[in-house]
Amino acid sequence: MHVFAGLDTATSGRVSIGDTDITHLEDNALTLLRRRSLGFVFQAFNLVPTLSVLGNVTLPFELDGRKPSVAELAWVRLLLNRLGIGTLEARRPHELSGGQQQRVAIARALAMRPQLIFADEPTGNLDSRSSREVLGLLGDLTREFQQTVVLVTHDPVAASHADRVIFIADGRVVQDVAKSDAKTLSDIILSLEVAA
Amino acid sequence: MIALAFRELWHGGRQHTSSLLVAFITSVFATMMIEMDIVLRVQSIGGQFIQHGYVVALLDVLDLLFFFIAVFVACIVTANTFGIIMAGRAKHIALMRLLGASASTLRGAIAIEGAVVGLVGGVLGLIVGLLVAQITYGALVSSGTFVNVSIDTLSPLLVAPVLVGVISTTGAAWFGSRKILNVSPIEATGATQEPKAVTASEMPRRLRTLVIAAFVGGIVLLIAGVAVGLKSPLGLLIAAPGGALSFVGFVLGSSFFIPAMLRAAGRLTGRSTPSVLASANALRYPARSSRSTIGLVIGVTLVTMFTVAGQSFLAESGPVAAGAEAADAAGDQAFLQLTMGILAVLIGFSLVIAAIGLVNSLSLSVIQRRREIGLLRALGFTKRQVRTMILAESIQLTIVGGATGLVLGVFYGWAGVLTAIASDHHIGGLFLPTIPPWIIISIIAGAIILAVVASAVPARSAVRVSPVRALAIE
Repeated sequence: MHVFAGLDTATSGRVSIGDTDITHLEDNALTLLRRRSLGFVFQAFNLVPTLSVLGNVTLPFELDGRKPSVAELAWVRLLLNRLGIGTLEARRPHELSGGQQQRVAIARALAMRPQLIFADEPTGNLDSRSSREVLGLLGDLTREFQQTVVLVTHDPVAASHADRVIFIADGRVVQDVAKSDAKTLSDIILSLEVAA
Repeated sequence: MIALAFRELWHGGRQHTSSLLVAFITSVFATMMIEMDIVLRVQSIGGQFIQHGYVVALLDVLDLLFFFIAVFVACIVTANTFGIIMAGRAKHIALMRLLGASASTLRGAIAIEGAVVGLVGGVLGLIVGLLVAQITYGALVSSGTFVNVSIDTLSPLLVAPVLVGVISTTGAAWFGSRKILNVSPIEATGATQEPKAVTASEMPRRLRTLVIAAFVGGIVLLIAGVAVGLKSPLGLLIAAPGGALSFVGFVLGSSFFIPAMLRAAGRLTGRSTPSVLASANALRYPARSSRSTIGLVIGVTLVTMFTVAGQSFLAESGPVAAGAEAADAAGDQAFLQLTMGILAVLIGFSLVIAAIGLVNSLSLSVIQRRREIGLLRALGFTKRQVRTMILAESIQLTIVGGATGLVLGVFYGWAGVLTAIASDHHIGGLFLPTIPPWIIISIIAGAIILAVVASAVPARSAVRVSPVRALAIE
């Protein structure tokens, strides 16, 4: 995922996002790419503790050196409402539950309408109910707004929300399947383990 | 960039307490220097206390010299503080980088933080400096030392203290934050719990050669100067630049010397687990520890040097003076005592700044190790052992600083006084330095007190860490 997101350099091969080959981009170009074309959601939420919910979600605009326009602010509010945290926009991260924090992170990732969102074990720190809600919302929103998400996970239940599942074992792609239910995915994982 | 800076100042302003204090003291120093100059000029015209322009000029030169040393120490201390703050913010910086902030934007924001801290410290220092000058002047007038001439305290020169505060703090913040450039956005992805230790970047080879050349060349010049000085006082013209050059070489190259001495000091405090861990901590960031101690080394060296030189002069010239006119000799001795008193105050500023730097770097680095201390507690470390560990680390740093300064000071002071008076036919050649026992005792006592004070606050916050909370994911 690090190579894919332009955070690490590839030892061989090429990485492209959309039409841009990012394999050999220099730091400034990669920074701009991250700012405008990529979104991130993490296991540890990674919200800025000193900022309110709204401040966190509009942070990408601030880093871009501007205030969000009226239309962009409306979009951000729409996202917060759709994620069910519209009434919490003045709260600080430590005043929110884990599930709520992760929804803020999703709103932040979507705020700039990036080309691609990376979600790295987004449910790793959540209980099963919050996990289900967060994954459901992530799935709904990305379908509704035609957004591509790359979800990295060990959890077959999380993976079952994806339209395409690629299995990677010890750094190699070993299988590539279309949307499947958690049981099928779980069986594949077990069979890979037995084969190894 | 400005919004980023002000948010950090608003929420994390307490991190900058020591930088603010340092800028404040530097500015007080500058203000009082300017005021003293004004007062002395007025008095030397209007009164009979100082008739000689020569004395005023000498004081000006000494003032300026020690002021630059204080600013230099302040810059080292503040740059070090910012370096430590950056290490603590590594995770936050990585997140900002990941979300698309460029390294130069973030570094610019830090420089703005530095500028604000410097401005506040500079203005406060100006106000306090003016007040102290007014009160002291009033006291000296009413005690009859000075004639009552109204002085114009406000001089356009007084923008200088504020400017010095702003420029030195901003520059130090900029220099101290250069490690931001190495923070990788990957650190924010949560794979690593502890952000990777930012290793001290190796000194570029050309600079290292230069530093070694300065040190060795300076020592050679100094010895040559002393050799000439045995025949003629003109040796001072060779020895003084040699001494200054070798000392600058030593200060810049402190990261070669200090870690080895810290290792030795680590053995001194024993082989108990807290002591071994303390030693390992002091050596974890060798460059950081070197910079924390070097301010102390500079201050102690200067104090010791002037004490040893002055006392040696008194001891050697005493018998000679007995033969000369008594009144003359007494006048000389009194003048020397006065000069040494003034010097002590001037050097005191650097010492205070250095002490603040040491206290601060120790407490910041303990705060950043909360998790680790929690782990030690979970593994069965008692609160007492944690306290011992922090105290041992603190003692190692201050003892190394104090002892190094003491040795260097004796050496430079001896070299200086030898060169200056050994050629006098009454004294005739080499003599051993006079090292008053009180200087050694007071420096060692001072170092230990400083160590205890420096470790008190961080130790208290460290033992409050609950083992469970420290191990939980943030």
